[in-house]
Amino acid sequence: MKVMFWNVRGLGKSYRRSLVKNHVIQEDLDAVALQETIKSDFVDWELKEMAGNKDFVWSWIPAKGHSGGLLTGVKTDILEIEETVLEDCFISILVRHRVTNVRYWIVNVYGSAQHVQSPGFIQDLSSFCRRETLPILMGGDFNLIRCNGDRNQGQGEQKLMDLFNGFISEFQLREIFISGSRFTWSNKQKNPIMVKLDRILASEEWESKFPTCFAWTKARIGSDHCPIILNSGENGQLRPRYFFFEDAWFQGENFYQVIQDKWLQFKMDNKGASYSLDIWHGCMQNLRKYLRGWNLKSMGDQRNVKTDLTKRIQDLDSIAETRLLSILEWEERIDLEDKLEKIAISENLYWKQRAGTKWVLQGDTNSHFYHQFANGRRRKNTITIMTSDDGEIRGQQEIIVHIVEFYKKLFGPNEESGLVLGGNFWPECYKLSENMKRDLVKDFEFEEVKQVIMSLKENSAPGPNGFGPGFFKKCWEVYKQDLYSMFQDFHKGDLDIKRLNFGVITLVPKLKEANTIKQYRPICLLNVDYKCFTKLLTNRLVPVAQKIIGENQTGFIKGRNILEGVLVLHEVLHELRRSKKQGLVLKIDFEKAYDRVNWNFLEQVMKGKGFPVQWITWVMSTVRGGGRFVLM
Amino acid sequence: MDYLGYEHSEGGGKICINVNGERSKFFSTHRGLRQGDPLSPLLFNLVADALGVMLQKAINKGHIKGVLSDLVPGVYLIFNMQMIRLS
Repeated sequence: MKVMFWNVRGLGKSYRRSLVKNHVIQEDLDAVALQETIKSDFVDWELKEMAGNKDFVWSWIPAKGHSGGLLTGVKTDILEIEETVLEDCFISILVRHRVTNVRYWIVNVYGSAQHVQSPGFIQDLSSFCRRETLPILMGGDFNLIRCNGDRNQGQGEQKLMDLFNGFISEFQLREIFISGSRFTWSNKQKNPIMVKLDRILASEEWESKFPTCFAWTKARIGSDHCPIILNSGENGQLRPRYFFFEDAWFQGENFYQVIQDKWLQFKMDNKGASYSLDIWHGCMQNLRKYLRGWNLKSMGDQRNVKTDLTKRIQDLDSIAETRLLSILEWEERIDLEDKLEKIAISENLYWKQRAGTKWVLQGDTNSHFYHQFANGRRRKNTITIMTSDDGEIRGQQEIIVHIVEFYKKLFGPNEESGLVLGGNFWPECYKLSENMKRDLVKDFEFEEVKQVIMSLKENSAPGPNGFGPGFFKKCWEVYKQDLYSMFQDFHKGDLDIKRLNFGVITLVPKLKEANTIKQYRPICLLNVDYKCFTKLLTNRLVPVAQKIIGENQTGFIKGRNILEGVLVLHEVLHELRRSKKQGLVLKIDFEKAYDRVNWNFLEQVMKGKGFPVQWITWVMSTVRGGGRFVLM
Repeated sequence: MDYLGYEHSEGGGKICINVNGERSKFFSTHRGLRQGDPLSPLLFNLVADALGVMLQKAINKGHIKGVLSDLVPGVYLIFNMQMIRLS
């Protein structure tokens, strides 16, 4: 867990908010505790801006006139907020770590600079500490010092120091050592006064839970206080980053041209390949590798400039702690901050545009998501605990093992039922006519393939290879010939489609407090290039299915309504009750009906209904994988 | 032109599981239709059709009788609402 405490000195300006956002992104913060917002209220987009597109939940205390104001934000993917307490000079948020279940308070503190108010402020903090039994992590601008060493010049008021030290010892709070700048505030004058006004205190319980925590200051930019970052030290596992094609990249200059050139280049590099699937795979893999690097580099270029500027400011600040800065050095420092501000503003524009186009493109379908996002609420679908027959399972790796085992078993080989349909099982009306057979296996037209691509749903998610519908629709001209070659090979039965057939299953809770695996609905996302094949087969099968699938099935088929059956059932029950007839109604629930379909039986059914052998082979190769089949 | 069938190989497509943003290793599937595959619903209908025909045959032979056979001739298969959302 990483949290930033920072006296930001005003969040009214967009530049300051963008500084917060930069810290959130750069440090991958889980919480931010800001003091002196000097703002009475926040609107959604301001909060969203600071969250850098992450899911934060915010609480704040308005400023009193032109001073004070507190804002705390918690990213809710790992931390869950259980309680929020708003007091005059602090915000306390009770969080629970979703994986480890550890609960503690994060207290964001701002002590008034008017020292007449200091006793009251300490009293408020004391009564909170007295009341609470859970671990406490407290940080911010206390506007108090503990000893004269907390100032670079002059002396502190003994009475105030005693007050502060008394509070710390009464509740046995530990001060977390902060590396970096010795003083957290500077009046930024030529002969500056510097004071350690900001600090982090933790209760004994908190420290014993996070014994390896550490904190450091970041460069004093924007505000006259340094931001302080605290890392709780629990080995925050780095989450792997998967490749994901972003539609927003098309906004970049010449991006489309780059893809076109690269695709051609990769094809040339791979001249030895003659098999359509090898060519396709080569291009896709290289493009993926290239885009990954390209994305990192374009983000990195700007980051490097920023790092250099920030580094120089930090150097100047540490010089200032030991000697006076020259006029030239001061001017340089001001200039450096100006440059950083300009970069931040242009970055901000980019983010805004990007977010904007996303909403517009996805339109109304996305408005529900948008509102959830804007409200800072997040669907709580992080899986932190699972109950199995053997008890509770905790920990990311253990949960993965449990879920994988479940699905391996579910999709594992099944016993043969031995069920064989007799030769004349199917009545004639369930069988295919000669015309239907011919239409199913006719040649794949170029236009037919194009139509499949163009009808892809824009905002559906990509499969494991990361290329979503956006890529396929916009780059059709680039890859069309190579895709069509694969379709031609598929028609001949020469395409090992198994090599495209990859999916990733994501679990979505069916109910609020889902804790067993059956309470999650598995959503399978398949690679879009694979789906093109089965979509084309579906397009051909639909008109046939309408004729040869029994009238008694009401699900899925175009022109029949799933509710038709429900309606009939309702009528029957009503009539039974009315006429007082006796009858038996059986409701058979196919548990995981889809997942249990037996492939051999499916093949038998298609044979029985008279599907062409070539068609059956196509379908079975998408379902069962299958190698290439042998032509005689 | 005739097809001799094909060499059966181990398993169909490969899937992995995404848990809290982390993916497991890929493993092969050996049965079942995949949700998210546009072809799956229709293939399911084909298989379920066999059940419908079996029931119809049982009715024809007089093994079972509809409770209101005069009102509702034949067999109705109703599938869970959940499944339609998966397609």
